[in-house]
Amino acid sequence: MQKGSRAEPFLLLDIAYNGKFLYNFVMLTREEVIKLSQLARIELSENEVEKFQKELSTVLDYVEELKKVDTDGIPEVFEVTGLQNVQREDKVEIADNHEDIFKNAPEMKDGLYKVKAIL
Amino acid sequence: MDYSYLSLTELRQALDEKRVSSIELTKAFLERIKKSDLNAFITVCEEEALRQAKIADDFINSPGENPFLCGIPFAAKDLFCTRGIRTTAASKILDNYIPPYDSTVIKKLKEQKAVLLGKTNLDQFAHGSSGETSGYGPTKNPWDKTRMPGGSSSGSAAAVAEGLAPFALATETGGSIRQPASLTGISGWKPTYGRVSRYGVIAMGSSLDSPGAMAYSVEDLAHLAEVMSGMDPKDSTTGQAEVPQYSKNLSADLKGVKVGIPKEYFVEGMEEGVKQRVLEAIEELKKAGAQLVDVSLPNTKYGSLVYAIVCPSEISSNLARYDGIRYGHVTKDAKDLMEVYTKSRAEGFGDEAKRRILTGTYVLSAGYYDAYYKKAQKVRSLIINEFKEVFQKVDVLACPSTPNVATKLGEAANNPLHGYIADQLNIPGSLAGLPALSIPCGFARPSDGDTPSMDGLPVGLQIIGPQFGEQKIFNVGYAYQQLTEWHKKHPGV
Repeated sequence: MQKGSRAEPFLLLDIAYNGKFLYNFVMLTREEVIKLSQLARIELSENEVEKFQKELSTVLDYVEELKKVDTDGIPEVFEVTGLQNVQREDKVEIADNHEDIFKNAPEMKDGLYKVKAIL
Repeated sequence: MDYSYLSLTELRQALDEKRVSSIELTKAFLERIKKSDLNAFITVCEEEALRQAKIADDFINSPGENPFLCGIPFAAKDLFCTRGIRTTAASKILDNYIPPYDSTVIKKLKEQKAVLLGKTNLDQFAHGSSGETSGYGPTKNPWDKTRMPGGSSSGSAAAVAEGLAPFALATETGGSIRQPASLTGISGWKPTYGRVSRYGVIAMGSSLDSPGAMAYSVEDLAHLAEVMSGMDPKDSTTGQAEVPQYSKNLSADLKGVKVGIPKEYFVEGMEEGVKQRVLEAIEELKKAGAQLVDVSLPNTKYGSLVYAIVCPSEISSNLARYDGIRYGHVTKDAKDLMEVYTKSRAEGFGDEAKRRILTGTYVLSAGYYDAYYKKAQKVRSLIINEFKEVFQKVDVLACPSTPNVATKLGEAANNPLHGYIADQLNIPGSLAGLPALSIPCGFARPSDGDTPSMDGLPVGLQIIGPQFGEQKIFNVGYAYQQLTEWHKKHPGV
């Protein structure tokens, strides 16, 4: 675990271990964490499920305080500098880097990405 | 002649007057990198650098004016995609990734014929603020090698501070330029969101990510800002705002400039030495003619809460692309396609990335979106509006960049007080897309044991401006550096 001067991207773990932010603590269930890991396509070990059950619960508890803030009539932010619907010309450009792109592929066959059978 | 620690203007003159060639400069910096034990670089591209230096020298030796950065070596955080040069984000999931294209910022520097020395270390995917979550080992602080240089731009900060490169590209999402610049005693620029293109910078939080730079002075940063900024069709958030001639417009006269001192940024728990140095620095601004105004930003306290929702949400979307199919790490024991995804991601991501992805997935999922993400984006509006109101009264804000000097490597866990306060100093400005500087303003003794560094460790003054107010923060920083010598202090010199 790391704490300290985490100015940027602050580690959620810091919060997870910081007991002073406890409000209406509700623990995520085992099933909820497993469901999340399926949605996020990350396999978790038994230990990880248990660990994230605690840690995610504390993070969610930490942000509870936001619910107390009065935001009636306040719009949500979409783009921070206020830009809307930026468009560009629909122009075709020739890319010269196909081979460089495919070099990174774990597996290729006949110029196509090879994946496991889907059906 | 030792060319480390010269300003970019001095290097430009030396190259233009043929007192040194780009190849000689490049070799000198490569030599310094080789001798360094800070673990500041993940990849050093010696061959490619010498090839680019040769091209720059040929250009300099032909008639005509040279672009400002022509022949000047630099380092780039290993989050900027570089065509043909491995780019890892300090994560094992991208250990063997060779980008097929250049990020826009790298392209702009290449057009100027600047010379890329190598790719610097960082917290994995920029998730961290000490450099310690790197998949390639932590970076050391050149002022005291038992301490961390800050992060996530740990390697870029250490490289510039140690004189391994005259400037470095870095990125910020919520403090990743200001905090390490402060802890290593250099000048760092976090641009207005959209001022510098994000195209080709490995994404973390797309509504926050701001590629920027680190160097020895605000004057250098103003030059770099002119090159790096501008509209990019490949990043539609870059906007149309024109790019002023920041370096030519620099003015050290602060008469009529109003500097706001936000009370929420001087909080209990700060190291006393840090607070003193920053207050002294603010007095210097007064000497340059600035008028000091006490201001208040009461929503500051919600910054880290909003960030705790918005940032993981965007991370969970951005990190969905690492699937083991097109590039990056792929598992060796998958039965079916689903297992290719779930096992490749399980093996490739570090603990913090997993935590952020899962948190983001939760707060974005049906039924929770309104309560978390939407609510956070509303409170974010409050933070933005509050800054807007304050910037009607003052031109810039001045405050500490960090509440403390560099802490010990591996022992940050014993120093929990600083985490929450540190977020308060950097994150609200990031959520509002504001430009900011961190510049050296003296030294202080650490509160967690002694340091062999004679004068203590560097302290940073933070200057925050309104959106696209780069010129304002550059002028204030420039004025300060005309009056003081702190930015000319280097470790072991």
